[in-house]
Amino acid sequence: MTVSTARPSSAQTSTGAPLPAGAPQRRVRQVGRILTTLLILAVIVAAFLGPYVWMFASGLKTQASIFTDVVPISWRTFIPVHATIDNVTELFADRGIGRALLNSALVAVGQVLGALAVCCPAAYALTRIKFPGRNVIFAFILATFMLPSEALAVPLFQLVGTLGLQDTLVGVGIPWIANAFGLFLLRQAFEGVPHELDEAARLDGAGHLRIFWSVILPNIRADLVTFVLTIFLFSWNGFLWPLIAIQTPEKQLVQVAIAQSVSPGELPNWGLSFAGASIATIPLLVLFVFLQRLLIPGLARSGLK
Amino acid sequence: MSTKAEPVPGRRAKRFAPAGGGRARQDLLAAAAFLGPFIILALIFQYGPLLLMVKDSFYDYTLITPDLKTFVGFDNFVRIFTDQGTVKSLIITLLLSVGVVILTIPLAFLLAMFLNGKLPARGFVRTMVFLPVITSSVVVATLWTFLLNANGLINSALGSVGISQQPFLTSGTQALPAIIVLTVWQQLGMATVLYLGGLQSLPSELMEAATIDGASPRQRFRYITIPLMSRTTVLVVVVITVFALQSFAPAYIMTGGAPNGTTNTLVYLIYQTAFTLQQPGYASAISLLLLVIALAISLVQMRLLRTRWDY
Amino acid sequence: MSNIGTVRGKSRTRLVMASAVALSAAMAAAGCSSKEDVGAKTADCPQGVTTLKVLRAEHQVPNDQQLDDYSKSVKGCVKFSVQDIPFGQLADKISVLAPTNNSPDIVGYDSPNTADYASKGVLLPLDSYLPSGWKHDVLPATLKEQSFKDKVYSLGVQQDVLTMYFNKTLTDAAGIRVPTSIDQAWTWQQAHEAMLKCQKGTPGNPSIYGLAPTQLGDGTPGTVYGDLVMIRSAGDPKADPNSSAYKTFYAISPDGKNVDGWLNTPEAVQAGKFYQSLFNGKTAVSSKTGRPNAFIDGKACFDIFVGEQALNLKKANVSFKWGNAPMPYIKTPIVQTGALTVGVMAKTKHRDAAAKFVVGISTPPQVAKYNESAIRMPTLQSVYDSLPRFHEAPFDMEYDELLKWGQPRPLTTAFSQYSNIVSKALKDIAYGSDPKSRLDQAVSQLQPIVTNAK
Repeated sequence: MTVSTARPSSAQTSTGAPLPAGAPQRRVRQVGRILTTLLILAVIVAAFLGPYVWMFASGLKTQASIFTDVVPISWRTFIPVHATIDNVTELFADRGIGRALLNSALVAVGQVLGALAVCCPAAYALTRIKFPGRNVIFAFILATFMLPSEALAVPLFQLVGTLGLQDTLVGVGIPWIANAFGLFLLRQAFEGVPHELDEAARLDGAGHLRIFWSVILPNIRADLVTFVLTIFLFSWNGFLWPLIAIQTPEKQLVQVAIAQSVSPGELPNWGLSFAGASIATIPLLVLFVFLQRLLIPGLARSGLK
Repeated sequence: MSTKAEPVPGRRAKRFAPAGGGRARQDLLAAAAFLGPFIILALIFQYGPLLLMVKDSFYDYTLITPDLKTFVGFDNFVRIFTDQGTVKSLIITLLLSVGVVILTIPLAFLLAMFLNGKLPARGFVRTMVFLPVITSSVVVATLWTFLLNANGLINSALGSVGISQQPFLTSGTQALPAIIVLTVWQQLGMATVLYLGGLQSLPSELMEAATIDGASPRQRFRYITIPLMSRTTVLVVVVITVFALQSFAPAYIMTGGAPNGTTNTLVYLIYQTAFTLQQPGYASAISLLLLVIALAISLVQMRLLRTRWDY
Repeated sequence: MSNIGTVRGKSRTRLVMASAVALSAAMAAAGCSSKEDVGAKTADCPQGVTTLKVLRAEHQVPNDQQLDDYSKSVKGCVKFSVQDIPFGQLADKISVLAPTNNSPDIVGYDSPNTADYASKGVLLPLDSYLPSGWKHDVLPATLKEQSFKDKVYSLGVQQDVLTMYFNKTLTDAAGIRVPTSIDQAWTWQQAHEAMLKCQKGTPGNPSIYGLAPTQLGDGTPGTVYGDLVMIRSAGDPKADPNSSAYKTFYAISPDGKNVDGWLNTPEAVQAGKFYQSLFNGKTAVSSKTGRPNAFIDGKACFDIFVGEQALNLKKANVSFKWGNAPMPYIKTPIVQTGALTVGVMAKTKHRDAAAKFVVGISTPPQVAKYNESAIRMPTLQSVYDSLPRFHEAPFDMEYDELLKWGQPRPLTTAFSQYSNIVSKALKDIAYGSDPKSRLDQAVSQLQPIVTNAK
């Protein structure tokens, strides 16, 4: 985790160098390096944190004060001085965002569990069982990753209707359970478990199910967290499909619910939009901050093999 | 869900495993059982609609009256290449993808190098850069609409350093670049994390050996880091390209394809053609084209980069 | 990474699997509930309680008050299950739902789509349910818009037209006298001069806008409702029917089959250039990117909007004086009519109940109540006569415009396509595209669609 490749010259060796003539020059370089680091940090904070702070702060402002606070830019832009929770209460009281949050959570959890149940065995088969056509099948599965869900919406809607799943939370979640990207992540993780382990288990007389269950799965717990979060993310952030698939207001999902204040084709109310955007983002943010130690290394590993 | 089916073949496999001769057949059964649920769901919910789409692409009809279909043969496909708007949208989408890839790869790589070094707030920075990845496209597009507005945060920031108000999304020359920047912003975190993983897996013995042999940091970077990162690069390029090819929310929420179709991405065009212009047959044909392009680009990218750098 | 097969890992995974099954069962249960359409029969409702599914644009007709009132009027024998859709997605949603078995019973839709939906069999004709004398009481524009091939598909509960609101405090300070009666209406030339004179700061980025960025659509320029009207006003309905001036005024041929030579006339191009000047260069008086509520916030001299603005201004309790002026025009004064209205989906299983509901909310007392509370113009002459509010400013102006200048939006069974393609062209022109080539392009895209429209 801590191999530093790009900056091999550590501070100790340079200050401990016996050549006094070079020392001031080195110090200048060192100061320069610190300044560069700080500058890069400042740019990153401004580019990535700035918009979010503005969004969260503006969700607690009235529309008029969002405008007066933005020009000229100052600390007022990012901190709600006269904070109001009117936007938030309106979203919860009038627009059923509480119910929508619950629905989204239900669908996302259902989708995650379904994907776990379906993708894990599939990844096992693709990495641990030798059978003819394995790579062809994997290619066919991966190809679905290239299909934009927006383009599939119309035929999918017909199909879900034929299956009698129209306007149900199941109908929203089930089409995406067989998730190609998720399977890809898991396949990479499964590949990372040494084959010697299952060979050993096989000699002990273990079958595929046992190897899958007691040898492989316990070894990829961190990757499973990555997988779970990725699927959760896909599900939680979906917009167009839930919009088309759900008719009953009590079954609406959060992205659609906030879209009523963040709606394309409609005059935006900036305060409500920011508040809605914040509410839809915060649950993921919390989840992410708690689990990022596991999520990020998992994603990072997926790129290696 | 159909997990109940699995134990049976698994147990059987275990019982007969030591016999050896029937292993291939048992493996096939086990594979079927393990893969079955996934394949069935993928067939129903991915390939099913895909086939419907292929069928639809040969017909002319409206969404409202799907029963009144006219078979039009390959007309919808021919129309793709005679329809200026569609050709333009295709070019725009490719430009967007190329732009996003060209900007993201070096930025993500440098950022990963930066984060891989000694840094006090490394976790914090990593979290920040990753924020847009976990934010929904609807929220990102909305946020950026306001950021890029004439009265938005970016113009205000530019104003405070004396740069005059920029039109961004309403200008034919700035709108697409603005959406490229937004997409880079959204994807940078993912790419950086993938690169970071790659950097951290570099064999340290190799680096040490090179250092002992007197290789300068620049040489080590050029001859060790970059070649070893090529496989990560393939993955990053593919993921980012596919994401950019599927760009929808910016056009849908921010621009409506304006000005002059310069942000009219293919998926937005598909959506508009199917829903607003009521030509789902034609929309299906464009969707198939997009699918073919995405597949082709991914295959070529994988081939090219693999053969060149594989070691 | 390397502890193999611990017991903890095993049990946890089993737990996950178990809860997967439990949760999917719960999801299935949640999804399959409330299938009942007709409830138990009671003394009040010998036929049982009917639940009608309503699809509407958020906060729009039929609104909760209308639904509640109707429910009470039939002793609770009709109930409603409402789905609110953002206005921007309403038309898409209707197209997707119309052919399915899950289509709603009642739909609140934008009235220019009547021909489109009626021609495709989406809406139920309501002629057999019309109250006697209704056709003589309803405004001619409403009747025309909500009929197709001599059948009526919606009764209408409201009309809206644009007028030009002005911030009297600002215009007085700039020494501008704004006309407040329809026969003194400004031409766009005059209006533009006044807007420039009243505007403060750099054109394009002013501190006070001459003309507030539009509050229609998504708040950026180009709506057919708000901006096509300026192009059409460059035409002349009294000119020779073969002249480009005549065609400009209608913007589509009377049979709805031609836009070439109607939408891209020399007059339209000229008007397009003027329209462009409102957003560009030193003559700019408005904004391309929009700013919600500029007028209400006192940041604009003029604002073109519907009657609802009066309500908004009162709600906001603004500190400035305001009034409304007639819509400016180029050659012929014109406003476009039409508003959200209520219809019955043809696929409904409750034809009678749904049709009776639509008629029920459109009776004079019900419409009057709605018009009063929502501050929307009536569609019935008798209701207009009975409501004093609409005889005072700002509504007297709206009503005058409606009667004397009102024209439906271009009548075609492909209205959603027309609206989409034309508004994109107008937006591009506002952003700086060449008006002639952009209008020609829109025509070449739209012509095959309207030719093939049934």
